[in-house]
Amino acid sequence: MRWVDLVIEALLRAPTLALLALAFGVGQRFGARCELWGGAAAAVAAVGAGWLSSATGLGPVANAAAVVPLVFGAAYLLGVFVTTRPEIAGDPTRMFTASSLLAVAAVAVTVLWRGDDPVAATGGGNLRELFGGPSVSVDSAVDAAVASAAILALGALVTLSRFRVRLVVMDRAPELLVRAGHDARQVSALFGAVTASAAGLAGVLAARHGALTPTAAVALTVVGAETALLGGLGSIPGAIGAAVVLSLLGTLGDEVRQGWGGLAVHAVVLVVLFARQGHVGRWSTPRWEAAR
Amino acid sequence: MSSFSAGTFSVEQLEVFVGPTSVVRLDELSVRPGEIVALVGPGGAGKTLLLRGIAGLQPTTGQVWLGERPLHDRRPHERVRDGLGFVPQHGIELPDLIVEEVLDLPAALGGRRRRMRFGRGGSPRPGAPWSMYDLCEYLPGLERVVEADLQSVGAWERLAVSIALALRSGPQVVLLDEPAAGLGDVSIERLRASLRRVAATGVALVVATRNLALARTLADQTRAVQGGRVTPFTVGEQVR
Repeated sequence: MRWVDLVIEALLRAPTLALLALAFGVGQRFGARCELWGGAAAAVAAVGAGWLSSATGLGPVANAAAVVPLVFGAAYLLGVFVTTRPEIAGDPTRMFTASSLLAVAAVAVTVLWRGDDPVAATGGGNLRELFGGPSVSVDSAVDAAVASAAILALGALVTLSRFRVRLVVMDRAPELLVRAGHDARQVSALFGAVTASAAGLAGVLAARHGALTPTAAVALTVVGAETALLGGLGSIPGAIGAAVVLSLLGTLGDEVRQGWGGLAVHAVVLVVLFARQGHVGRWSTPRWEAAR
Repeated sequence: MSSFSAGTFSVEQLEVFVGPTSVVRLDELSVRPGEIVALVGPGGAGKTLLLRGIAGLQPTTGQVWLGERPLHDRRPHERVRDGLGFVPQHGIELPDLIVEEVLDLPAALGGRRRRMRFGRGGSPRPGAPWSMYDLCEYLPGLERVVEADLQSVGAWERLAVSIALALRSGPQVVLLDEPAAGLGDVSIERLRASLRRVAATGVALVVATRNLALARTLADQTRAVQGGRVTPFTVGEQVR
């Protein structure tokens, strides 16, 4: 039974890595065409918020900070696609400002809505509580993992069904989007929003897993990047698969001897990267080969 | 404000830059609705840069007007929305996408999807998005590849898709860069016929080409692009 518990624990950690990987991968492949390290910065910020959660003893408050990128991402999305005024939608600076104001407003409304308890307002990752749903009795980590998986799945479905063609075109021939009358920067901003949301959610989940130290924050960021590289930059199934594999490896490795889990994760990633003819970050599949 | 009448496409004192260097200059060009202008010149003369400059894809100084609407201070995608289509030299090659998906890209801009997809059209006009029905009518062969993978279609069909994408946005003017490149004689004849029909609807065309025969038989007016300058040109003169 001990091993079963370990596997469950690993699977509960997997969404954090998957989200971080998506933040890296999506940011690098799409949104970061102009802002190469945007995804990485968002992920670092979110994990930093998670670290703040335990390092400062202000756990729930810092969790609230980790929620902000999520709200920010949603507001950013709103700013891009709901705002039809071209003078705003076409200008990243104004869009950023408008979206930030929306994000601040959203957090403020949430806090005011829950009145005297701003900690409960953000729920520390318990999204059902955040949105005022019925209180749940299940373990909050499970709850958060399920919520994140649902959001991830929903986001993937919406993105793929509604924006698939634009994603493909943006990735491979952004000028074609322009020729069709689309603002490539606006489409790029969509991926910025996805990145910020994924990183924000990852920060929330990371904070659920107990003590995080500055070292742990760095390590999580590194593992997030490794997950992205292993699963394939920008690949949702790849991020999920790699996150499960690395979570299992890390958890089971630590069970054998403390610290071996992290070592095993880094070692596997190194082996995989070098085995792929040195193409760091380029996880080859026939489909991707064809794309080149 | 431009002195040209509404619908006339005009370029004034346009200078196209690569980095800090001015590489091609066009003093004046005006194209009436439905008119076809050929820019002829050898490879490397600057035709592509000139068209990209007009489309806003290359840094420029000078003015570009569509009727009384200034395009020179608009971003490239805004110029497309304003009625300036662009067909680059190399056709669209994107795996994992079918032709119809690409041609639906402009429709995603707003509530035009339904009208664009189902409208039978029959009378395309400048500034109005072309329906699939009209596109297939004016670009023969397109109907056979609408549901095909973009990578699997031939050179003519790929060009037809590229032209169709420009028309789908409802242009008043379309810039075409070396449309005849890589086409056989039959396809060039098809291209000529299609462009004439498109122009007859009132859409102005600016065609950059090194194919003098195409320029001679297609264009209403011709300019030579040579040594970074654009000069009036009568077909029959030698362009080296």
